[in-house]
Amino acid sequence: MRDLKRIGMVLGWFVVLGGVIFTLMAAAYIGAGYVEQFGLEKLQVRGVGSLVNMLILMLAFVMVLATLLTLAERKWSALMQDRIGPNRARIDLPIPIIGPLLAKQSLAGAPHILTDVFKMLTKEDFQPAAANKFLFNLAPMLAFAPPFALFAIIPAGPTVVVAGQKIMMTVSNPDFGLLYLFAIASLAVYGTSLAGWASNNKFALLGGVRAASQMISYEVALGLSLVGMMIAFGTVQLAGPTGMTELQSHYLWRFGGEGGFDIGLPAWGILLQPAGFILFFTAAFAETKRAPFDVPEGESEIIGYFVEYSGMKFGLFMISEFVEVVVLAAVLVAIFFGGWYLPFGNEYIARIPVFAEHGWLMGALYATVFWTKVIAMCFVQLMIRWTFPRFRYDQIQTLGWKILLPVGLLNVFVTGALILWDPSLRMLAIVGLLEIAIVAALTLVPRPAERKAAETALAHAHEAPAPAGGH
Amino acid sequence: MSDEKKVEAPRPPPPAGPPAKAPPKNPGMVTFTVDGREVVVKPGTNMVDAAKTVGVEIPFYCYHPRLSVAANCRMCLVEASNAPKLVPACQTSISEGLAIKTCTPKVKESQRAVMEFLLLNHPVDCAICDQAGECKLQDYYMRHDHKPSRLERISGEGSSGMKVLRNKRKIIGPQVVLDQERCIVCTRCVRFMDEVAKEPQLGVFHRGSHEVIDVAPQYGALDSNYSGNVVDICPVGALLSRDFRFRARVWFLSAAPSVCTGCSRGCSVSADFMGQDVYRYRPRENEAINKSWMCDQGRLTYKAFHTSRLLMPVIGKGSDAREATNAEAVKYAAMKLKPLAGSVAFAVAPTVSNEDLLASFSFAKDVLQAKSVYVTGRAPGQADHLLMTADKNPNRKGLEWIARGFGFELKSFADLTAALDQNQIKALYLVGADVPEDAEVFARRLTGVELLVTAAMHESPVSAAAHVQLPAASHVEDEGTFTQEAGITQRVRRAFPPRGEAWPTWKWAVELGRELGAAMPHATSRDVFRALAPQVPELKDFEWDKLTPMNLKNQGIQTLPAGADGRPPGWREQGAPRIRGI
Amino acid sequence: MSDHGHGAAPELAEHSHTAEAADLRERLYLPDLIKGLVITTTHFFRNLFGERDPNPQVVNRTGTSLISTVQYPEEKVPYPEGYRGLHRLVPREDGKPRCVACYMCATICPAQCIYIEAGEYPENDAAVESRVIEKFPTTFVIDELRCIVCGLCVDACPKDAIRMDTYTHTPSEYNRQGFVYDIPKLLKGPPVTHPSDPWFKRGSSEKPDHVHKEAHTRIGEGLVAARLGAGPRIEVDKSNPVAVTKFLK
Repeated sequence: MRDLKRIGMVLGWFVVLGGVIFTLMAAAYIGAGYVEQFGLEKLQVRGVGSLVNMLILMLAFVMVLATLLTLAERKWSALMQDRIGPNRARIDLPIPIIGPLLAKQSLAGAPHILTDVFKMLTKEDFQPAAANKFLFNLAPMLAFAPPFALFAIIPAGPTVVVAGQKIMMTVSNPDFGLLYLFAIASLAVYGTSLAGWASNNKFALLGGVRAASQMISYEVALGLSLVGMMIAFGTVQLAGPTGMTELQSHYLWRFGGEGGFDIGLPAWGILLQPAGFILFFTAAFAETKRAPFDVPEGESEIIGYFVEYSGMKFGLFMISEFVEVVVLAAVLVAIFFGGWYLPFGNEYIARIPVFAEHGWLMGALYATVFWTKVIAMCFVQLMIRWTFPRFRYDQIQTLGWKILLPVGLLNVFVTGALILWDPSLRMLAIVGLLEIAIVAALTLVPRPAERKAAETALAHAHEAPAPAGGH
Repeated sequence: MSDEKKVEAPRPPPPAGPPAKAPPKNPGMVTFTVDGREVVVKPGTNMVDAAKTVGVEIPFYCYHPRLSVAANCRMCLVEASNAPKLVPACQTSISEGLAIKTCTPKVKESQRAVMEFLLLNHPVDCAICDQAGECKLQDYYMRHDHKPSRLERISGEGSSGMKVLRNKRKIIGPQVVLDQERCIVCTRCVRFMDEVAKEPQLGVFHRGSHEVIDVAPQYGALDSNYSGNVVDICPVGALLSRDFRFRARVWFLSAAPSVCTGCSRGCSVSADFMGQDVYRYRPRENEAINKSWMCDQGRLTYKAFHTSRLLMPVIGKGSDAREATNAEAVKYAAMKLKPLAGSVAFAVAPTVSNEDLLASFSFAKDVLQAKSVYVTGRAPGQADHLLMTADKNPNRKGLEWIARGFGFELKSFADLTAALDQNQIKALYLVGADVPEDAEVFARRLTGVELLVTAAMHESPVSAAAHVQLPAASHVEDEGTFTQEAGITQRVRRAFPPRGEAWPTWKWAVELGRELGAAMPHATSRDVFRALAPQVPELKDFEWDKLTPMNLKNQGIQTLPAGADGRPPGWREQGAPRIRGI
Repeated sequence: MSDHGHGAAPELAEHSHTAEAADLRERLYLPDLIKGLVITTTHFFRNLFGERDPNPQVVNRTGTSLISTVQYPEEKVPYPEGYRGLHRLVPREDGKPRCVACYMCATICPAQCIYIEAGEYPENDAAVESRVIEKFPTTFVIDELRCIVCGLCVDACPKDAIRMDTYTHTPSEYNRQGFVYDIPKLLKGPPVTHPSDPWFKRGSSEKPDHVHKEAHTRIGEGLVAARLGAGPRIEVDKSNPVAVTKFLK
């Protein structure tokens, strides 16, 4: 069975990937711990460790994930469309044995990342003669920086003790948490509209205007959709002992495992606030300007705001899109999918002596869980991008103003009422589960017309093969 | 109307015996009907020519209007009201009240049978036959027969080749190669050599299916100066030109009406060209000059269009000589001529067209202030009994007329050499580099000249001696007129643009004149003729626009030049390909 | 939804005409959205975990993976019977081209990509074939970039001298000049002989000696059998590009 070999290989690569994440995060914890200790002892400064966090989380994870996504977008879309995807770039090193061996491997198309990089860096950096030079150069930075900065408040792992120091696996944990997220997210619009305007190109300007109006429209829904979660958990922080991640690890209903392996229904945001999740996902997706919301710039069809950009400036726009994907995935995981926590067994793991003794071990394990969830959410986003047709511009505005906004408002009122009724969140969870059940039912139960059609088709198939082309 | 009905009435076989005599409908002329259409012709016209006047084509091979009638191909058999059997239309003169029919089943069957008979032993090697495309056998086969040869058809598997085999490649003269297999023994060539060329070098030998055309033993070879005409009149591919053999397929060629410039006879010809190459001359019918014929020497003069042409202007002399653009050359020549105005001698070869002469004379008169013209040109040669004349210059008559019209004094070549030898000539403007003495000798005479400007077609010692060499176009590269020895002026049409950077001679004169400040607004040779010909009484009444209209529908194949990438030229055609069946 | 009851495919096309107003479920969009995601996800995982079937006959592929791509240079779809491939000039038995430079292909060619110059075999040429057919191409050039592969040249050829049975397409080149195929490049593949070839009828273009034989028919009979009987006709092998034979002029 040749499929088995391939399944084994793919799963093996998953394990390797997990191992890499685990190693990197372990390094992050240990490094942060010792740097923090060094800082405290030698410099008498607290918080030097978060510099290591910043470097590793931003550079090793967000950037690398975004870079890998450029390839994944092509490779995954190919698999969804029954194609092979890019696999022709090869690495041909002048090394005796490894070189020829390597040159034979397509490496799942990974060398295409390198070729892309070289292409971007070596292309002519073109500037329109009549463009505003300063703003033209500023725009890609403004587009790139905000999604990057967004990641600062996302906790990628638990707070553990390493080398005698408490290490919090986040760049910073401000009190205003999610408000920072909203504030920075709304900055991204400057990059796009400046790019459109500074290019001195009519089409770019129109693209910039489309992008600006779309992003501003969805910011309202974006903010409103998370109000439910804020009400439910009573905080706007993500990390920390009172942050949303920590609160999501509590069980709504516990099914047992006292003293042993604990099992229960955790208070994950997706269960409490399915409507809020959908609203936030939709609005945030629109903010990333990716299909089906890619009206500001559709790769092959719609001239967009960065039409005049080439080389690495264009590359910044493109990579910022993928950074947004990663950051959005991380935000979703932190708010709706329990952050780094597993859905069950967290207490059991905490009691294991090895983990209690070596905090970095537990930290790395949970961080691996977090990044696995992030990658899964990235995958979902790419699925959506390659499944759905583009919305028309009026549909985008209708969706934002006439659907997301009222539903968001309603969600706030309903959530508020339920919290008032039952502060233990259980009532909220019941309503949330009900919503999920309704959607599942609507999806699974066929419509009467569909059922009829299926029956007729079956009958036809039994009678005789249907002639091609219908009647 | 009633008469016609009377003629039409006896529809079943024509009555035996002489038909009832009717009074002539048109006194002095003969009236008869072809396929129901009434035709009035001169008495003595044969049926083929008479039918042609109303557009009825009677097919024929052996008949030729300028040769005696042999009536041996039997292709032109038609039904006539005064004969019980089919009559040969080429041989039978029409008579008053006669009715002939050319497309009855009987005639059709006869034509089909004749075609089959002619093709019975014909090798169908059209693939390697130069006549393909202008072959009457091909045309009539498609129109009248369209069946395979029975000799071919009944041959069994693995055995074809029951046709009579003869000599396929017999070189019978310097110009002609004979393929006896393709021959249908129409004897047109034999009659031509006998009656027109008056050199009976060809004959029919053997009998029956062994019958072949061959060279008469006492002559040994078909070396007449008119042997090329047998190629033209051969209706099939039996007699072919050795010069044209395998060089091009005729359907790629386009014909431009032109004249032969080999001698002062000025035979009308068609210059068959493709791209910027002329492939052959064919005589064009002109009752006044050459009937349907031309000599072999003239036939080969087309080669001058391609050999040792001067393609770029050259300024400077000897080691200073360098190629220049046309504008540069004009500027340079004008700069050199300006201080010498009034002392420039003017010499013309009568080999250029009237337009060239008109513009050059105008330039010489108004700008160079010359009073006399030295006439150079080719040396006289042999004349013969039919067409060729001793004077090898095609436009001497035109030169004389125009010189007189412009008030120039004609001086001979001897005067020119004498003046040159005495160093009387400081500067010389030379139109055409042909001189009646050895070019090297003449070039040596030119060494004392301070400034020599030549507008000539070819590289020669004379043009090499020039300080400014202006490349001139040949006469197929521009519109123009030539006046032959009897004073008949003929138009030539432009076949293709000039090769290289060449300009027509008139244009050099016009541009030089303009550069030197004269009012010469002519843009085309037509402008030149219309503006300057009124000064010449003999040319005044010549209707320039009326002669030999070009076939505008088929302007010829325009070939793309070979690209810079080295790809070969593709044949680019204007309009639909002229190929049967497409 | 349409109630024509013909399965899903026809309904898609008719939907815009016959659809009733969307019901709440449809307007909710989420269920259909999830269904769509399920389809793409199914394909994704089948293709991720399934080993691709490299069988180049795409329609006959089996297995879990649904990928239908052919990895071109390594896997090639065999060309179908009658495929019009790269031209070849058909050689005679003696290695010279059968072509007699009749220009029929150049005439019919709608892309005008064929350029021919004709020459004449000398009368005393060593080969009987050359003596008989007189004319041959000194230059025969096909510009494969200009060619539109219509096959009209093959139809037009009266001598079966140009064929497109190589079952290869024009290979890529680094410059345009490389696509201009001349006689050495075109002349390849097995030689072809027909009983009707003129060199079976006679030994040269001269009048044959035995012309006075009875009824001067039946000439050449036996000649054909003697020369054709030598070997069977060679069929074209489609699996590989045909080998180039050297042009001996």
